[in-house]
Amino acid sequence: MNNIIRLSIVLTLITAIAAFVLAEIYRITKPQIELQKKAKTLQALQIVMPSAKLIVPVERKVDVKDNKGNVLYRKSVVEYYKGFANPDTTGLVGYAFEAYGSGYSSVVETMVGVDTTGKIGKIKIISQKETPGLGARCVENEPFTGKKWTTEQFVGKGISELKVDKDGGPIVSITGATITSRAVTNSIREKLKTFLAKIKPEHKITAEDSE
Amino acid sequence: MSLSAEFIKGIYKENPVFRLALGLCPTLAVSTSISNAIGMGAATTFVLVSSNTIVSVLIFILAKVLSEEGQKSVNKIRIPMFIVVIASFVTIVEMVMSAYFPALSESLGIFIPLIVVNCIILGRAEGFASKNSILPSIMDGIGMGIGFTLALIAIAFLRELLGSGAILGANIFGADYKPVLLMILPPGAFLVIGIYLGALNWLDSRKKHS
Repeated sequence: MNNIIRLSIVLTLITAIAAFVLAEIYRITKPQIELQKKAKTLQALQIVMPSAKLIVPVERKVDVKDNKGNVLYRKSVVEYYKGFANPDTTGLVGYAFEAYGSGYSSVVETMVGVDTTGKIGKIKIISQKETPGLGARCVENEPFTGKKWTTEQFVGKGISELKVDKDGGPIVSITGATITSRAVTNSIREKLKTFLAKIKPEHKITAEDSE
Repeated sequence: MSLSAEFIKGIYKENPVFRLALGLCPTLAVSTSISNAIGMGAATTFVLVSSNTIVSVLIFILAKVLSEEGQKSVNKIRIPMFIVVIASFVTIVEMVMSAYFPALSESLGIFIPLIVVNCIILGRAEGFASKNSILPSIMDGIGMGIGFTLALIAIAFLRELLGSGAILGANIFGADYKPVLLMILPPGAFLVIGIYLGALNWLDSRKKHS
């Protein structure tokens, strides 16, 4: 009995010290990490909409409720981004949104550019924690000759074309990492579907191949 | 053993990958390119030195405060103690890296959590740092870390050269080279590690005979 108490005290002390140190470092690094994340989003936006001079986020208010259903406050969430060719919000060049797909070992986050006709423009993978050397290759272009995965292959694709080759579509998947390729492709397809449904009434997007 | 001997042994004589056959799991995963190997080696060395230091300090403090019988019983929970120390350092590395070194964290982010399960670190905490004082433990950590990094680079060199036709991302064989896909996939790591282990054993046996 005495022994168990002694072991508990030693282990509790060690974990308490570790928890304290980690909490402090988290507090110090958190604002900096968030800053880096914002810079990364901005960079990704510029990659997927290279011709846009001005990028405007389109936000939606979401109610944050407590467990009794009372509205505590309203939070604004970025739904998608609009890119304009001129700084005075004229000359719409396209849209961008973030897509999230569950991959093999992480959530793959992709910034997706959409042109004014509802086709995919450039895409950029913002964050992923897939298997190094396999799924993690989704961010790059595979160095192999012949059929290969590249983020460029999404350019100009519509909803019905967003399928990997294993599912009968035209998207070439990463060698040895079909799950990751599927996660990227399917998340973009699903998000594009809801995005086009939302945007159609407001704008004259012609998505002739909506399923 | 002198301090310099503690440092030197990790590089060749007790190289963690080629001699102790420790940490083969992360070795398989990250030795696909030399730049990955260097980054993973550096991060592992930092965690290894930090955890070795803290573990030897911890054991020293416990020996001061506890009676002989108390030390014996605390010995039973040493593995959870070490794991807490190691996991804390890995988390610190991950947070600091993503806050202040975004480029490094971009290319290495996925490997950092792998360090927790790297058995070199637990192996050195258990096998060395818990039985030695602080200075030798630090030296052991640095030596083992460098040995691990060199082993990773040696494996990554062959795998990147044959599997991608490049060294440090720079194309070597030209556009006509058809890369050996197998070398980039996990079996390639087994093959290369096996060849290196065989070569080192062959060298050793030749030395013994002459």
